[in-house]
Amino acid sequence: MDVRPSKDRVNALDAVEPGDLTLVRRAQAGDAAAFGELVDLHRRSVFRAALAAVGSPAEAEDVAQDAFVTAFQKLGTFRGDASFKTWLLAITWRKAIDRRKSVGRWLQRLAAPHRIDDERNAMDELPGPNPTQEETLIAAEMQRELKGLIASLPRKLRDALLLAGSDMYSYNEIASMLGIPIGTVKWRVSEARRVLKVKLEAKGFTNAD
Amino acid sequence: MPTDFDRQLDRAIRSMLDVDPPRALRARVLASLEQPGRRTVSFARWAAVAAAAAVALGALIAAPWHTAAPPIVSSAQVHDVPLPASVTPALPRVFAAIPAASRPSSQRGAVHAAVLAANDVPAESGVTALERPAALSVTTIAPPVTSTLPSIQPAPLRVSALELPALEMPPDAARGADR
Repeated sequence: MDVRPSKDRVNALDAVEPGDLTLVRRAQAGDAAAFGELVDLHRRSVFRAALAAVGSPAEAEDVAQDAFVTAFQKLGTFRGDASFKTWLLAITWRKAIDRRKSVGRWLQRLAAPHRIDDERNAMDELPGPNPTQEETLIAAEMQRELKGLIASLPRKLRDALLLAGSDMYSYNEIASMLGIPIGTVKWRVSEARRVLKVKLEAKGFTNAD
Repeated sequence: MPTDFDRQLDRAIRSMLDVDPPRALRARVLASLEQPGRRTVSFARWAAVAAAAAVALGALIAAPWHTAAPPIVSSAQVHDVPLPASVTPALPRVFAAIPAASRPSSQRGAVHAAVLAANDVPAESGVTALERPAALSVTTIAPPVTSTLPSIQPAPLRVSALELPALEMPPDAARGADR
């Protein structure tokens, strides 16, 4: 298979799916069904990257759809220098950032301020089996606080932390999406964790370690 | 080794992103590819909304809020207002302010009549225009009457000679003068 993987590959997530290139070639030849297969293969990673950026499932769905349409329109420019997933995620992130900055989104948030983290209740954050009642309450409270603190992080730190913490993207893919070196991605993730830990301890969670 | 904080943080992040995309995403994407105009229409709609908002904002800024609006008067009130039978605009009282001395005498009568007309003096007030003044006659100027005075003859001065008494020196002063 004529695929040249990136030199900066850091883990198995960067492995180029051999089926991708075949599907891409077929889609480039005008096979819409082949592009449909690509959509099915990558819809979850595309959707969650968009969700990490915009925070709302409804908006993430719009961003994902936009990204796939744009990818299809620009499929002729894809030469296989990077994996199709990396190329697709870069498009998705640009679309998501455009959406995040758009005036229309600001208006929509005014009309419907509900976001995904608001729709969950404390029962979703219950710890593993056989916890004591106190452990359950503390864990649920800690999860609630952590989500609020993550949302309050600076965007650069929050983007890197969410993408890295989702376990769906390699550092190489994150670096490609954000347009920064891998070292910077790692620093931002580490800094975000440090800031969160300090803030969490300041809120009284002294046994954060 | 991950700490409890790390585990809690990873759990929180996964929980925030643990949403699956809709299964219909593929169908939506393929439908968009078959109807590329849909996105364009959506964009055009947003562009139209944005343009309308910009126009409304511009009109709002340019509106003359500082000028007071005219009072609202109903048609019934308008008809109730009694109108005068005839309205004659007053003429400006210009001539009265001009001093008479600065006007030529030949026009004084006409000026006076105009002033009366301008001041809306009614005709039955009995005031008529002044008659034309008689022309001035200038006679020859007679020289002033003068009287001749006799010449003054000064009397000759007469100065009498002064007569001084003879000085007499005391004997002591005469001796001192000898030394």
